[in-house]
Amino acid sequence: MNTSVLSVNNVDKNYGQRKALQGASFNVEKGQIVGLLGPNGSGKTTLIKIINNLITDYTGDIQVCGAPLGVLSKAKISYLPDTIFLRKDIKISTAFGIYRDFFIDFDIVKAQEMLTLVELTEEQRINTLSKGMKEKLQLVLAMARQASLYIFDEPIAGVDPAAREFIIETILKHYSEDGSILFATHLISDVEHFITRVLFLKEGHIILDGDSDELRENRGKSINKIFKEEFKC
Amino acid sequence: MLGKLLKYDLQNSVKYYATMAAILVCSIIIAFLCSLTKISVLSTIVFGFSYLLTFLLVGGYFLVCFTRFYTQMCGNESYLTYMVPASIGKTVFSKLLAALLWGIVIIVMLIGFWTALVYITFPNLNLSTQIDNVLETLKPFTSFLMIMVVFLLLVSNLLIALSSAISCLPVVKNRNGGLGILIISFFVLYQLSVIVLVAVSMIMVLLSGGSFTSEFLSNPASSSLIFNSVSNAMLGCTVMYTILFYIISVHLFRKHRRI
Repeated sequence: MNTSVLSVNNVDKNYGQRKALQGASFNVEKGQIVGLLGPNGSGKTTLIKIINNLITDYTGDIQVCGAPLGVLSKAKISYLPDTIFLRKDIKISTAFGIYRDFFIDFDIVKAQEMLTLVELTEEQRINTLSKGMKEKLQLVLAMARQASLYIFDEPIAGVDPAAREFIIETILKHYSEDGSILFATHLISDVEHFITRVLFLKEGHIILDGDSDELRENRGKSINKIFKEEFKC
Repeated sequence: MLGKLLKYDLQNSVKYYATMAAILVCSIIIAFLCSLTKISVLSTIVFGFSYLLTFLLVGGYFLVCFTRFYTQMCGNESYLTYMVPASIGKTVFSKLLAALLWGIVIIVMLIGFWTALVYITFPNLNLSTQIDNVLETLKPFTSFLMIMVVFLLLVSNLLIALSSAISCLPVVKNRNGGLGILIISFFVLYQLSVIVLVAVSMIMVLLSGGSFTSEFLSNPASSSLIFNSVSNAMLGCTVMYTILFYIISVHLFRKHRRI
């Protein structure tokens, strides 16, 4: 039985003369929490945008739960980008309504519970929230879906340690147990304890792909140390 | 899904059009108060202001269409647009439909505004007779005019859609020229569309047996041949543009976008 949730095969992407991705290939299996790790400019966001259909001029093949990228794949992915994408002049309740309308797997009760945890109310307007609160709201929206694949693009970059801890706890507590996670970051020490698999991305190449426990055992080092070695300037 | 997309697109712009409606209502109230003063110069000012307001509202409508298309298809809100499990064809179509419906609402609001304004300014005028006269004059062209209005609104918004698609092209994004390219593309496409329209009209005049000297140089305004040829060319071209621009926009958004 095929348990591959995400299959990326030989994906190339150029920005003009610059090669952003070169032959990127990997699979994400059901239940895995994959850390897509690499320094800034290594191609993490490009890869994530391609998987989420935001960039379409690439070569290679990508499938989500056996379906090519398109309407079906979008229904299975819950994506948290590294930018604020919600309209600023709407209320949180309207944002919930939009998600409820568009995503059949959106659990509004779960969203309301999570909203209480982040100390927000549905009556608040998005333009009255701080950047950190907007990010938390988007996290609530992403995690309230029962998706097959959750994709996070640098969700802990630029936030304080307490907020990082909260974001990671929220993700681990609320993701669908049948789902998988692809977590892009360059802050390895914060994610090392929960990722089950690592993908190191360097200048568009996947230079390391392996089970995180095995890597730690075989090399006798933490993922953070391996990362520092691999990406030494 | 199309219904949900349409609901979202209509909701997105409702506050802008509600503001426009409120401005029109306020203007009518001001016009009414001015008419009570019986100062004739005020009527002139009110009419001048109303012309300006009409242009501003039509401009405002297109500005809303521009910004909504750009932010939802190319800007930050596009993350949500492309996250939603809907095809690009449906996404573009729902935005077009919303823009068309709002366009019709604006036209209806402006017709209502002008009717009320004339009624207030000239209370002795038998307005219902005047409206009947206008409708009688327009009767032979009613269906043509309605079709033209719908297609012109569609084509205008498709031009915006196509310009947005061009501004999302990777080659444009590489140079960070998104919004500027959108505006330039819109005006270039608009000019090209008009040139093609004029060329098609002229060809149709010539094919109908007209000549440059008799039809174009003598008295083009009174030429029924020119009128018929131009109206046919307009209808033909707008239908052609609608189909062509939709197909190209959807293709570009689907295959060649970068967010």
